[in-house]
Order: sequence, then structure tokens, then C-alpha cells
Amino acid sequence: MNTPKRPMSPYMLGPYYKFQITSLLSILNRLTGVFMSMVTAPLLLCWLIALVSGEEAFNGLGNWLLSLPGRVVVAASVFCFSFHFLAGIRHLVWDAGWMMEMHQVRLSGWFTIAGSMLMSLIVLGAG
Amino acid sequence: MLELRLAPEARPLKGQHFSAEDATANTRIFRVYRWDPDQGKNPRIDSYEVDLDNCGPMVLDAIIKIKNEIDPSLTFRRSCREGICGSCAMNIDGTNTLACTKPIREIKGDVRINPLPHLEVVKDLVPDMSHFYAQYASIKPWIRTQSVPLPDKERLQSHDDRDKLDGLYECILCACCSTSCPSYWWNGDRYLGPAILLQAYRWLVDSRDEVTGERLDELDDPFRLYRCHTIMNCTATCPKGLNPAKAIAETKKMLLARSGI
Repeated sequence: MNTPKRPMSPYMLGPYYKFQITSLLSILNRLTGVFMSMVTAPLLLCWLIALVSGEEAFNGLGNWLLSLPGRVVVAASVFCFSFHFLAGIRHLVWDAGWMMEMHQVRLSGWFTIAGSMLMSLIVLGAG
Repeated sequence: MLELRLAPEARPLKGQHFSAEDATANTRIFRVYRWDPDQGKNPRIDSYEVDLDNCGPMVLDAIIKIKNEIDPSLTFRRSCREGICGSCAMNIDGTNTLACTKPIREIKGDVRINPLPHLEVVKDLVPDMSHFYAQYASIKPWIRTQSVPLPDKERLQSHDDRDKLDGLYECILCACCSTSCPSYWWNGDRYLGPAILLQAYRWLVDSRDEVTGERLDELDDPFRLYRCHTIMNCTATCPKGLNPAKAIAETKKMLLARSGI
């Protein structure tokens, strides 16, 4: 008898595996890191290049940063940094073997979400 | 390989609907993953109306009722019906758990039941666990010693040393945790996964085991151990309330301590 190839059982986060604060924060940590290395870091590099390229280039980039798309990129960068920073501390605490009971994991998770929003608001408000 | 979607032939399609003959107010719909190796078609999601007034309280009671009274072709594993054998591990309402200890009333709306995630399906809710068991065998899960025991003595353990096994020995190897772990989905060929790593730690902290160094050598690998990214889905889903993520963190700490940093 010819048995057909066995299918892979459904697994994806979202449609088949419920998103929980555990996996949600993990994937957000990854995504914020990707955003900072793909967008924020190159932007800061451009800023440095603009700085040495003269007044015109520096002012040009400064004006773009004040435009709506520029502001969105800056705000996203600030949020990504805040989140990644706090989530990173959370991971360091875990690496020491602390705060690994589920109620502590949930609490520190919500603290990371609220803290990163608060931190972004403070930085953006001050800037 | 990072696969974000199921292959087209593995995607479940809409299946049959089985209505309850005399539907009462307390009827619940169970949406169950089906795949029949003899048909060579896509998997499908069949839906069954179950009268909960004439059904036991647990999800396992409902699927046994479906098999007995509605559709005898429904295939699943079950044995002890009290959370100690691990056979009826499946994905219920979007998280992995044991059907026998999951009360139906904890689930809102339709009850969605799939096999444990990211395993090859043998039939319906029965996944192929051979790789998981092979990984378990790879950690040599038995006491290994170097000293020769006296013929009239057992290997004794103090109460304090015995206490270190609490929260570890209760693991029933149902694979709920490993198959909840996104890292295990994508690197399960080489990453051991939370269940096996918890078992590995169970032997690392056993005072009677004498090859701790060798066990640590075997784990000190970028994939076997260090594909754990502390996502914590394992601990969140364990139907026995154990903490595989903490066991893994303690294992990493043992390796760090051994390296002398």
C-alpha cells in the first residue's frame, strides 16, 4: 500500500497557537531589534555622514527628521529602543535564574510593555 | 529552516458537520483536525455538536463521546484519563494541554482541537513522536555511575538532595511544552526542546549520578541547549505546572559556573 506523505500539524502563532504574553514579547523583542539595526542605526550613521558633509546636508537631514515621516521614524526608533532595553534587562534577570515563575513572567511582561511606552513618552516629550 | 506557513497539501480545509440529533441549550461545537492517510487528501476540520448535559466534564470525555456515538473513525491517543500518562496531549483552544485534565467549561465558544503542533501527523490527532523519543534517549536518561556499588547497599540520597528533584521528576513526557516552543518548531531537528532539557537537568542535579561533567559536555552546544531563547511558552503551557524554562536557565548557569567566569 502506498501511504501518502504525512502532513505537518498546524503550528503557527496566531491562527493555530494562541499568542500569549510569553511569545508576544519574545517576537516583539526580535522585531524591535531588527528595526533598530535596519532603520535606526543606518539613520544615525546618515546623521554622522551629514555632519561631516557640511551645513547644507546636516540641515537637510534635520528638516527631514522634523517632517511627518521623519517624526514617525524617530518615534518608532525611540519606542524600539525603550522596549528592547527593558526586555533586555528582563532577559538578563532570567539568565541569572530569577523571576521565572509564571506570575512573575506575566508581571515583568506587563511592566516591560508599560515601561517602554512610558519611557518613549518621556523621551519624546522632552525632545 | 524558518517555515512560516504550512505546505499547501498540509493546510486544513473545511470538513463535515455532524449535527446533534436533539440539540439542547447546552450544546457545544467541537472543531477537530482530521487527516486520513488512506485518502491522500488535505487535512480537514470536522465539526461535531456535542450535548454537554450528557457528557463528562473534560475535553477527553467529549472526544470519547464523539468516537463512541457520532464518528467512530476519529483517532486519538488516550490511556489513564487522569493526567499521568501523557497520551492525550493535544492542542486545545490554541494551547497544548492534556485533554483529560482540561475542563470544557474553561473554553469559551467552539472547542478547537488540533494535534500537537509542528509534528508529522500519523492520523487525525495522532502525531509521530519518534524524533522526540529519540532525543530523549540521546540524553541517556538513567543513573550513570563510575563508583562500584557494594552488593548489599543501595545508593542512598539525603532528604535535601531528594528535594532537588521536585518539580522535575513529575514530568510525564507528554511533549506539550516542546511542541509549544517556536524555537523547537524551527530547530527541532537539532535543538532538544524544553521537555528533554528538563529531563537532562533532572539527571544533572541527581546526587547519585556521577557523570555530571559528561552530561554538561553533551549539552554544551549552540543548538542542543542554546536554541532556548527564554520565550517561556513551555512553562506557560505545561499541564503539570512544571517549569522547563527554569530548568534550562539552571543548566546554562551550571555551564557558566563550570567555565569559571
